Amino acid sequence: MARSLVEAKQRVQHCSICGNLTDADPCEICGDEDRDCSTICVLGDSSDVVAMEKTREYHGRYHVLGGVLSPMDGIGPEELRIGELLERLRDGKVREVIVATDPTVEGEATALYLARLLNPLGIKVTRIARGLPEGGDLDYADDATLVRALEGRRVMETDS
Amino acid sequence: MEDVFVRKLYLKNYRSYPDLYLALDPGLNILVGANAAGKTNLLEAIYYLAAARSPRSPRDVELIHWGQEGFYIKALVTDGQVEHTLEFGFRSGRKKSIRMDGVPQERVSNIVGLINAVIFSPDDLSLIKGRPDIRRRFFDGEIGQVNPRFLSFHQRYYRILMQRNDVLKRLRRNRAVPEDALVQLQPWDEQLVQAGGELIVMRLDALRQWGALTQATYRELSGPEEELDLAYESSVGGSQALTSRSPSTEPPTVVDWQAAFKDALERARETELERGHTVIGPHRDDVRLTLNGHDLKEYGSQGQQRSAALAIKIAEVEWMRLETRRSPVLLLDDVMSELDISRSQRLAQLLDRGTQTILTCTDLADVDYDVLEGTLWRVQNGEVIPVVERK
Repeated sequence: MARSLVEAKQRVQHCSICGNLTDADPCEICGDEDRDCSTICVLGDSSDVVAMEKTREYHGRYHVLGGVLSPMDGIGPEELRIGELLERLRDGKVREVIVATDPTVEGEATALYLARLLNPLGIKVTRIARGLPEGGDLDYADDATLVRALEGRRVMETDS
Repeated sequence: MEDVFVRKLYLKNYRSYPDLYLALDPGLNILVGANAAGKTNLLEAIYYLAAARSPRSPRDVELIHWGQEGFYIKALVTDGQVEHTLEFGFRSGRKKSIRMDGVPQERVSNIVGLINAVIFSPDDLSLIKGRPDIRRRFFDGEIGQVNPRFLSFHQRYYRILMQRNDVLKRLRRNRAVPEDALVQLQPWDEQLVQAGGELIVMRLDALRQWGALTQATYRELSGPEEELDLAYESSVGGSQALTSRSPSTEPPTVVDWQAAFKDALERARETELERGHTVIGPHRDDVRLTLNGHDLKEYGSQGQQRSAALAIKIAEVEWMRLETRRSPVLLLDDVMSELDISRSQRLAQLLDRGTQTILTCTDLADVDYDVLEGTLWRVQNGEVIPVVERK
């Protein structure tokens, strides 16, 4: 048991392309030719990749920043894998970057920073929507979530 | 109006109480005890149920019983036909934990408003005489009690502010040029301006109502010759009258405030880089009180200042009743002895509406308890004992 843990620790590394935790480099997702390479979804942590993958709805690539901006904790742009992201965008194949960092103050700052950095490169930068959880009860949603959901409301169009 | 009241209260290692269990009267509770017997601590614990913080100490760690590592408060709150349990736990160095009906709550904003409380204390005078941050903390805390949305934005704003100040501190240390500074500040500026605009407008909405009630209450207390006015002094957009009887123009919207805040930040950029912190914003705003046009803090007599402080608190009760359609629990900390007859009568008017009230005094003679029906308690040595026989 102890040996297998040590082995696991030795084998697990960060993918040199996307920064996700992997036991092979490049990771399974980066090495998958069938995945859409015109879209990159930017995430804070590796655990977020697992969450996104579970949806089976996203078929593009990922980029794990290894955290979010937090000056109080000494995390500035240099501490995140932002240079690596820019490197990946250089060949012009990527058309959209989806920023899916957490909806915290720090996640939001990271998204805003990236938007300012990437927009001048002619890349479409999008931010995931925030709001109510699916199958959730309005009663149980906390106020902040409700406020966000209200802000992100959309017109319901019907065929007339 | 539905009655909301604290039916049972349990305190563990809270201030002077290592272990206290109390079944409170839904009406009036009179706590008699010597100075420093722990009466104020008890009121403070009840206030904590409403605001999730102490009215006196901004830091939870100060509330822990001497020599202990944490405190715990549990209460049964009756709201009409429904009963809720509220639990607060705090251990030094950790985040406070909150449970409602046994379910852990991530955010304070989820439980505030379940019960509201207004505390009257001799310290209230500091609302008039004290520094701006005392008023800011007070008004923000009370608006947060009735408006969870305000509380969410308030927490968000101060989080952004802390992060932004850290960036500014670093930029100052590295003597950054303004162009570099801009790139690093922008992600925080944008959020600061957004949350800040919301915060100011929510403050103004609440303070206009509360201010008008304060003005009317002051007139009742002091007669028609003296006119008390309140104004919101914003570091972002100048002075906003809160009690003007002829609202001349449409008040600025959230978007207007955000735009003004953004401009003001740009103008303050150099100063901020010099000083290494955020110099403008709602965290620098103040509420100014004037009497017949003269600054109350500078020129008011002791009596005028006391009346104004009392007017703010009485008006707060009325304002909360209007906002929440419920009566807040009233906590009166040794205030009767300080007030003259007309003022204490005005205060007593609030009490005869079947609202739960917890009143403390050192001497029963200070309380006109022929008028007041309720349960009498004696506070001593960390214990609160019901007094069966009333004189």
